[in-house]
Amino acid sequence: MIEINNLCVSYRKVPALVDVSISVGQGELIGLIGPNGAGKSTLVKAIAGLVKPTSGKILFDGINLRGKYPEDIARLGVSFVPEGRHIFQSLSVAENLSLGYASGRGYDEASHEAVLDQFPALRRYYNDSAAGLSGGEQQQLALARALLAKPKLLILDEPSLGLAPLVIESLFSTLQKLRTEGVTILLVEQNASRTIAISDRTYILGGGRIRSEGTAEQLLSRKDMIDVYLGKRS
Amino acid sequence: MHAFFQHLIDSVTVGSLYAVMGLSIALVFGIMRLVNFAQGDLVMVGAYGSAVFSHSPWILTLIIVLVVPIAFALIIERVAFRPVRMASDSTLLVTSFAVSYLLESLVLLFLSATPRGVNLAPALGHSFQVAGLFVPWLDVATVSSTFVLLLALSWFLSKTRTGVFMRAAAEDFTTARLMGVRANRIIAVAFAISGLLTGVTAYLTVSKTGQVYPTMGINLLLVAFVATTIGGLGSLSGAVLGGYILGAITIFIRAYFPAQLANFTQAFTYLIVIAILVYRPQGLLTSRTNRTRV
Amino acid sequence: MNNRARSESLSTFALLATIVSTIALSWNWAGATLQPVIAQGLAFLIATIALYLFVGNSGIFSFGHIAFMSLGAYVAALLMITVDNKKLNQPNLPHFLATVQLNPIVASFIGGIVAALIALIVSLPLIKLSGLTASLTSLAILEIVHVVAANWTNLTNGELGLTGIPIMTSITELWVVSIAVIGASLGFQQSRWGRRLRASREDEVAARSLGMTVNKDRRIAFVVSAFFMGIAGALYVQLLGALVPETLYISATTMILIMLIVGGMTSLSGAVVGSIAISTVSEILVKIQDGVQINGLDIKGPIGIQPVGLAIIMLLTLIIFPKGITRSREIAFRTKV
Repeated sequence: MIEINNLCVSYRKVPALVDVSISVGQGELIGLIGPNGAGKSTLVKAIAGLVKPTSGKILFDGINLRGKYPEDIARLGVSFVPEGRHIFQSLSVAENLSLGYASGRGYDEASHEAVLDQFPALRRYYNDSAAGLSGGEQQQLALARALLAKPKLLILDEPSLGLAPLVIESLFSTLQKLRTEGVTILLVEQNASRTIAISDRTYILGGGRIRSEGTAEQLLSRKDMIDVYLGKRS
Repeated sequence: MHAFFQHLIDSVTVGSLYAVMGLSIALVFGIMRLVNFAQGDLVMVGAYGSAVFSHSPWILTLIIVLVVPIAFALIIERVAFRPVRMASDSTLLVTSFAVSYLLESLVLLFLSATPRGVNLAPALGHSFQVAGLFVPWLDVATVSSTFVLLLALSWFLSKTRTGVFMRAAAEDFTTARLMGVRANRIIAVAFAISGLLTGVTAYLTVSKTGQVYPTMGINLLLVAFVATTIGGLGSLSGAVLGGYILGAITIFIRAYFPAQLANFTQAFTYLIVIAILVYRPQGLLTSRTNRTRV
Repeated sequence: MNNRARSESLSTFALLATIVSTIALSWNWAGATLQPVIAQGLAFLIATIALYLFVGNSGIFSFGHIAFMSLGAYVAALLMITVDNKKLNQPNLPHFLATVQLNPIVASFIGGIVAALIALIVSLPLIKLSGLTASLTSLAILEIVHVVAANWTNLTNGELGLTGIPIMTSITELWVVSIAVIGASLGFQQSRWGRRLRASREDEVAARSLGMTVNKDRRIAFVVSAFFMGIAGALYVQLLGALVPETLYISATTMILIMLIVGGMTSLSGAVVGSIAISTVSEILVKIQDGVQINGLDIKGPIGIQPVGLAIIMLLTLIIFPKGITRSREIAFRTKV
């Protein structure tokens, strides 16, 4: 579904991504982990159109995403939940959700209700200001908002950041459920072990390069090497 | 006491004009962090439109006065502001200054600098009396059209899709784009609405003063800037509040200060504004500072 | 500050001072029509550099800065005009002003000092405001000065203005002050305050977190800038001989803004180059407006082409070359280390 080939991104001559190639197939849940500053956010921002690559290809269902506006990429079916959630605090929950349809995709009553069923807290606070939601509820709102567009590809940038452990549990089980429903997901996370466990395949990014890739079994068998990349050991 | 109510009527009327102008500035600023110097000149082009069409049926003149600023606003956005959209706040500000200067000098080039008399809406020139107070029909028109505009804008921003998208974009433009909100479209809508607001201002101003000249927008612009500054840059309700406060200060200073100081009304008004800013540098009704740009 | 920076800065000073001195020198051989052009160009050069000192270093656009030029002009004028003239034209002046008559150099200096003092007072509330709000508020300051100048008729003669200001007969003061303001600007931007200020320019949030220090740096730049602005105003009116509130108001504001932008707003060289370039272009456009003969061809443009021409140049610069002619860098001899 998404093919990234030899992507390079630099911030004013400082390289952030060097020669990165990943692929996400339809229906897969792909994890992207690595230490802070490895370039994970840069990679997904490049896909979403927020950052301009210096070279390389980003192909989404054969369409070249490079150079497109973020809103056009969203309209093609890429839903991006940015780091820090970024819900609209000056809007109500309902209004936030309506932004989910801004890409022109996905509206029908039944699925709108279905999403609200999945996140009952949002139904409870439907007409209240989004500013009053707790961290976990905000995460639900951000996720719901992304799902309403019936995305072909759902990208999440560090969704567990700043959340309580119990909330993180429920987040990951939601992601599991989405996977069984057939949603294609690219998950960027700090939480390495969890991510590896739930993903079909996981990429490990370090210093702007792909260091390793594999399924849960493959990666766990190379745990020592992985730990070095993740900075847990030297 | 009687005079006080007369002044109150005047200050609400003047305040309404200032509020509408302030709103047009705040609307564009909220979306693009651009303080548009050319907004005053949009009033000027609308006014000149009315001068050209002053002998046509009033409904045609009204439409022209509303449509011309909208058209200019959209053209200016596309030609001058879109290329510099990613630049710093200061560059945007100076670009709008350049646009304003260009508009004024073009008018000076093709038309003359001498004021042109325009007789617009003579029917509004009369007043009626109520409880011993003189109420010009123009004042009624001003206040009621402001009221209608404010109501319409509120409805637009809360009940329509585009309006909600605009509020989202004003808070966090990047995330709104990530959701699929089209940047160019939203910005164009904001400029169009601000053009409409200046058109209304133009019609009311020309009806009141009866003349048009190339630099007529400057004073209104300065007032609008100051109004949005008191209210807090980026806050729509702040701009409206600021407009009414300025209107009140202006009228009441002129009324209650000793006669020889009357000419200094503007100076005192701005001094008071500066004093307000000393105590509340962020403005009276600050909006959320959680702001990312396009 | 390391040696390379110091020597680069000195070379910038030498280059700019040479350019300006050449211009000043040429005044001595210029014809009667060209002399006022050169002199006024130098006056505006000083004003543009003064504006740059604040705007270029702090990143805050003081749109109302001409207020200080006007203040300096009025103060100096009132101190320079002959006592007899004042008795005739301004009977209501306070006694002190009515009886004093200072030589132009002293009067100009005092004009600068008064402008600086007012700037100091204004800076107390102004500098606490955020960049945009400060820019807009500075417009209010300009307006206040304009209203006072136009209405305090006892002092300023209102719209009729002041006349009989002694005309400058040599280029020396303008030359000295331009060299001085170039030196002061370079000195400031190399100083501890200047460098701190430039660092805060890019990131307002970081600047705010430094709080008091940034405000102090901004105030210093603001006051020094106003001082030179005031002197520029005082010198300018000695070229005109008369002064009304509109002399230093919106068109002057537009002029120095265009000069700064076209030259490159974050470098001193930009202020100098921009000022010279725009003065030249503006003069050419005015000549075209008046009608000129080139090789037997009569060229006469419509009235109003000068502001339009300048406006287009400004807009094109902002859209296409936002960093201006000098790319916002200093002209210097750069040595490879």
